[in-house]
Amino acid sequence: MIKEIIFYTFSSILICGSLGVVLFRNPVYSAISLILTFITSAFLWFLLESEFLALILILVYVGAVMVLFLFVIMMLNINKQKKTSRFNSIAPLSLLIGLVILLELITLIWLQSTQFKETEAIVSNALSENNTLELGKLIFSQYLYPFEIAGFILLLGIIISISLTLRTKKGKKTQIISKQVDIDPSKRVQLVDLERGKK
Amino acid sequence: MITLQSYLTLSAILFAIGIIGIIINRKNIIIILMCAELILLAVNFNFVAFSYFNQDYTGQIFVFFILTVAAAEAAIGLAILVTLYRNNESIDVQNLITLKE
Amino acid sequence: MYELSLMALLAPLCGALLAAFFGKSLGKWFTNTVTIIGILVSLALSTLLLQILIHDPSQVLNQSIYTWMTIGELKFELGFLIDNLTASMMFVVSFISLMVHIYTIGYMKNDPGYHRFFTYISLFTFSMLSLLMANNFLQLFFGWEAVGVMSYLLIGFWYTKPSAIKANFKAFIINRVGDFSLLLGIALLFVNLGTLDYILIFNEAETLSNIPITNSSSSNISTITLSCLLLFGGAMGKSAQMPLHVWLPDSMEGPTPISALIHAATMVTAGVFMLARMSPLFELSTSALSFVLIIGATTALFTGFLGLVQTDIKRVIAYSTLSQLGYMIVAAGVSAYSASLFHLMTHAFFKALLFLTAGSVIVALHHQQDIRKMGGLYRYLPYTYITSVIGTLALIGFPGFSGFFSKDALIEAVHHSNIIGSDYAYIAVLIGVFVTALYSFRLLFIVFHGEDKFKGQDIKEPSLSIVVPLILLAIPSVLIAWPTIGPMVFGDFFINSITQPSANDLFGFEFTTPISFLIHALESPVVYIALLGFITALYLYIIKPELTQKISNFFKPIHTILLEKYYFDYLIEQGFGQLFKKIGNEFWRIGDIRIIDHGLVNGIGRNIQKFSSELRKIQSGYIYHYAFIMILSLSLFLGWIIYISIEKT
Repeated sequence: MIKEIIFYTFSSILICGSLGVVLFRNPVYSAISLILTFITSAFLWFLLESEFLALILILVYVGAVMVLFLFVIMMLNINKQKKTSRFNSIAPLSLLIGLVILLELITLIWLQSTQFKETEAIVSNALSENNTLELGKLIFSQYLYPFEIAGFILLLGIIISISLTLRTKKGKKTQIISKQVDIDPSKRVQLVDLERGKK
Repeated sequence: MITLQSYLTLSAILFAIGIIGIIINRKNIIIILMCAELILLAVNFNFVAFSYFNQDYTGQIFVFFILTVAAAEAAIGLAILVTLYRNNESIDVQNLITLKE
Repeated sequence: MYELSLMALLAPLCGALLAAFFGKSLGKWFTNTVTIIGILVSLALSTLLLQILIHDPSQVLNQSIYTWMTIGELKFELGFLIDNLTASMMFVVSFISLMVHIYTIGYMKNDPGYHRFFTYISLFTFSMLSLLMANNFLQLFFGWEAVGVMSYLLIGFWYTKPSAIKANFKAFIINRVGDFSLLLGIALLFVNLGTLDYILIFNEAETLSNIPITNSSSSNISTITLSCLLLFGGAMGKSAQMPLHVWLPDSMEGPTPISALIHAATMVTAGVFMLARMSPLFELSTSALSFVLIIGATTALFTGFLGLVQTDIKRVIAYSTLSQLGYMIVAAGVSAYSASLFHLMTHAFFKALLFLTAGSVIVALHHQQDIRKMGGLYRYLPYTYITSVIGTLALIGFPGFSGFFSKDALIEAVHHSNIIGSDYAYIAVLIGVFVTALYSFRLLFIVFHGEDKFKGQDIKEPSLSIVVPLILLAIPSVLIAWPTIGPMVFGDFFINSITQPSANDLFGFEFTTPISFLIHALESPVVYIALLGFITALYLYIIKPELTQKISNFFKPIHTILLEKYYFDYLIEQGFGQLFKKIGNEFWRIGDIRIIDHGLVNGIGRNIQKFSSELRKIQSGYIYHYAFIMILSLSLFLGWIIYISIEKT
């Protein structure tokens, strides 16, 4: 009973939030709607007994990615869009296609529904108490390799972002480390034999 | 009675909204990126729901990885956006017409 | 036998080819000699063949010399059928051809196309011989077309004259109409009997008379009648029967030697020859024979009328030819094929003679052809005058001359026949005799008698090469009937070649000697009608020449109709000609330009361009367009998956 109330409430907030992403004119409002979407979906994931993921969602997505989005929005100084030209020429057709896709997906879901287990009783016993512990067990044993690769992908993300957006100021002197390490000491220091008094 | 179908329906709705948002967007490119995040969120929903109803942790592990990749992708996308802004001084969608012919 | 006939066929061809390739470089004497030798060889061999066949009738040659192609069970071959009919026709053709060759030496002396002319007439002789010697319809058709082509080339010999070009097109196209009918007839026979060989067809022809053409109950025409009618259609084109006669007068645009050769003696008689050859088929169908009869009689009569008002010397003789061809066809129509062939032979001689005399007059007067400008020429051109008188007497059927025997036998047969149309034909040929006498003597009197318009001018007899053929042709015009009428018309000469009723049934007369026939013929009205015609001509053109003007004024509408040649030319040129030109124009405008050029050829390019420019709009450059297409395909893919899962359940 409670479950239903929570589910329906939060799912309606979720849908409103996602509509807000699409429909708001001010990009900051869109970003904030997206944050609302993420938070409510985290709540829904709590319902599905995946606490770790829900909290990670809030920490990573909302805390890092959305903040990044807001930084960029503020930095690029994007203006509020004018009132008239809101939707492009292809809007009605794409709305239609979107609706079609939605209906198709729902049809597919209900078509396959005979294969799904429906009972709730099974569900509550199976998963263990500590979600994090179980996930950790799996990640560091069975899925270690993908885990490392995911870390590598993050590293790639950092490097790419920096290399794309880094601007060097002209005239600024920096050290080029590779050249520094590369030198041959015998070329830098020369022992000159000077006799006293001679120039 | 909340069944798997309800969660799947919910994720389908999110997915459709995300897709429509990409196409009918006329404002700026940031919205496109945000709608991509929405789509990824819908997929995550799917995985978590299946993981719950199938008593299998694999779904949640996969969400883990999707999250990672999505974060990296958002960062890179924003970096590209910034570069684009530096070159064009605007991020209007209509200016992205250089792919034509 | 076989080698002789092969040589007789190919000798003119060799002469023609040698003259064609080497004539210009080696000079006139080479051309003359080589072609005349070719024709002489052909003549000698034809005579030899005739002699062999007369002595030993079993020597008839029916052999195929060359298989052109085989399609399944059908064989298309070339072959010879040399029997009495063929041999006698070959003799006539090669003799007249020889006369014309000799004549041409003098006639075309100053013409720049001298070598071309000799080549053409030798080639024509070759084509005519191949038509005569055919033993199957394929070769007949080849010869038929070949003589048509040579006639076209020769009529338009002076191709810089526009009237000549018009005439040769007219001749060829009208011939074509006849050929189309001929081809249909051959095809009909072929479809039903599966072969093109004469003898095989003749043997099986009996079966065709029981097969109706269509299965419907309304039409009652048997196959044999239809094929005979179609074959006769070909003869109508080639032998210039009404209404396909209009090309013959215009063919007088060609030089006189070819008028003599082709349009008097040989090509136009191909139709009659074909009728005689196909007699086993025609005998099976009386309706076809009646049709032949009526067409022939109409031609004989009405073209004779046209000859009365012509002012060009060659055209008078041309209409005379048309009229005499009508006579031959009439004879074939009453099943008297032997009489028809006999008349063909005699006519060949005297008509060629008449044409050549006309040519002699034309040359002597420096290419003047209008008879109103001639008169009193008998003093200046004695040889021409005498031979021309002989020819005219032969033409009208003066007793004793060859034309008399042939015409009388013919009219006798018409009188005695009972099929539908024979009464009409009889009256028509009798009136035709009167008209023939009238226009022949009209021509003679106007040209040679009357007031002398050439006093003081230097008119003399043309060269020997022109006069000698005249004499050589005048002799058979007088004499040839005497020895030949017995065996040919009343006897067994053609018994193996032609199917016709016995002489008694045909003529109602028992033939013993030519003299007895002559006396018998004097009992029929023919001679007297001819005499009447002579007297009328004498009256109108010698005694009271002013009368002609009064008569033509009195009968002005009829005169106009005759001058306009019954408006046939008008009908053909304005009616059919314009109609087909319009149709052709429409086809060109719509079919060629719009459909093919604009629609297909340009259309492919245009449509590709249109399609690709539409297709180009997909690549608009807008990302959301691309995204839209991706989503569209996604929805289609999802639809497909739904479809599959529905099928599975």
